[in-house]
Amino acid sequence: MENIIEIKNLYFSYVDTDNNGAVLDNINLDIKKGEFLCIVGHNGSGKSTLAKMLNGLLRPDKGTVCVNGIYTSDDKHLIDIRKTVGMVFQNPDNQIIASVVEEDVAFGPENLGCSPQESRRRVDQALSAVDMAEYKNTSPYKLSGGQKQRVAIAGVLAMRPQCIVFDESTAMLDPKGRKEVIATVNKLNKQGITVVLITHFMEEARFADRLCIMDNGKILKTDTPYNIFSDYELIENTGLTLPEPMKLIKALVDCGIKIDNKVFDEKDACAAIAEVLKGGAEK
Amino acid sequence: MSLLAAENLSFSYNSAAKIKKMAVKDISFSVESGEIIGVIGHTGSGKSTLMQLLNGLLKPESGAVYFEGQNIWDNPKEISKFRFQIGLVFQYPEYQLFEETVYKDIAFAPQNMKLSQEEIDNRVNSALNSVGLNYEFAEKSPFDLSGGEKRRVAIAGILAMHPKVLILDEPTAGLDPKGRATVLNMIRDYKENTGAAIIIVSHSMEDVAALCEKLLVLSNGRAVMFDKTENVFSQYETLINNGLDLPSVAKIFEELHKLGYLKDKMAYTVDDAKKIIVDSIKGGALNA
Repeated sequence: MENIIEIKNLYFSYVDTDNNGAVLDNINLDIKKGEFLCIVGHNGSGKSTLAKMLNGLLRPDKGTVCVNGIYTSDDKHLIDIRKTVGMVFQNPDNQIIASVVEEDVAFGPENLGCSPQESRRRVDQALSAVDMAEYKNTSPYKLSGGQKQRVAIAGVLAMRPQCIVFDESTAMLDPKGRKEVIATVNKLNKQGITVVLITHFMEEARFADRLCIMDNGKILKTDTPYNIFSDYELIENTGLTLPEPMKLIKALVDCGIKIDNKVFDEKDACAAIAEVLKGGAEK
Repeated sequence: MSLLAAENLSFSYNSAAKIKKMAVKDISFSVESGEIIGVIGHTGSGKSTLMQLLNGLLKPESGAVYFEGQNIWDNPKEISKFRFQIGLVFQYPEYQLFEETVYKDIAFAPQNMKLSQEEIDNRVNSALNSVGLNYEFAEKSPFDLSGGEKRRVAIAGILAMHPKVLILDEPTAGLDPKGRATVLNMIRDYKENTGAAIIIVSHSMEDVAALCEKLLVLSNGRAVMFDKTENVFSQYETLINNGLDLPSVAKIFEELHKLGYLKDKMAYTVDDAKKIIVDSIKGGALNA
């Protein structure tokens, strides 16, 4: 599969010292077109700094970040990179600027120089893609957290990006809001948009094609979510945790119960536990 | 007499406006020493407003807050006395760190309480200790710390007041799993060591299931339920209708019930679930 973003030997530090306090320390990562990549790691591991590298909000001290063949160090083409890779941040209230939903979504396309007709078309499409079309004339402050975050996603979508980076976009939401945003992220990925999801909620990683663990500015491991979560030692050492259903299955395995441990969500866990209970009853 | 009681509390942000929208409507509940109460509700349900009413940062439009039987607004000039007793940790409290050193930041409230220098020293030390930071942190700038450490310093600043009621508004939001566990253990320890009452606002059903004996469920400014944790989680539909959810483990048990297993059993935490399943497997083997 073709790569949309290629990161090579990337170093970065917020202070001007030689390799001291490197926030990103020799990162090498290729993001494939259309994939769903999830990045996890403890606070201060460098996730958000890496996210800001992906569309040139920050530029490498050493090494390169290349988006569709364009280096983020190339000032002349920065706008093309920003059009290709959109960002959705943590706090919905910091990302919405207009007093009407559709005006907020129109901000991007208008600044890209789209004609009024083209802007109109893009805003309508973007709002219906996040299931917020009926709120187009509403004031953002009347929306719930999950709805505001979906408006922020629509604002990015209206710029027609090929890739969207979600930097802890569900951290401030209630359970319903989180479900709404994660469903939207999955839907967009199925429609072909490359997704990079940064999160502290392990259960959100289950939909990813690949899961990447960061620690102290380094990428420790990139693999399928299942393989990563099977590496208990790695999870423990990096201050992370298993999704709850996997935690329960592991607790049962630790008690010496023979159980299918290939589970991810509640349904899988239920099936595995039911199997064991059935076995017990038949004996 | 309850330690802290809310009686028919109501509040709206723009009481003068023609279209008046109540942020908190007619809420009554009470907390005793040594209890941990979880407050859950969708965004905009009035959780943060209620917390600010409870420690006297906002004045109720009607109804009252009683601390040890006394209406905290009886004498408005003495409201600060109650704010020291009812400590409130805001959402993202690390944004409020402002002093040059961690010591000065934590000492800010004790100083305002006009305590002796010796007592202030003691309190800063024990507060740092309670949040699991050693004394070397005292002379650091709060701005050189990691996100999780800043959060703990901000909480230490409230603990240094030795509040009898500790209110925390989403204390684990944005923290990694290890940071979440550290903060939750800290809160439990503070309760164990001081007998204080804890009120904790959270969006994590797993966290409140593990920590809280009782839950207050808010929706659109009203208290929908105030009951023991297991009784609240048994009202699955009410929770879903109010934008909430069950803890993950409880969902597994719901699924098992549908398949006809463990019908009379329920669990909300991994530990409880493990015990029930292990017992049932071993019990099954014994029967056979």
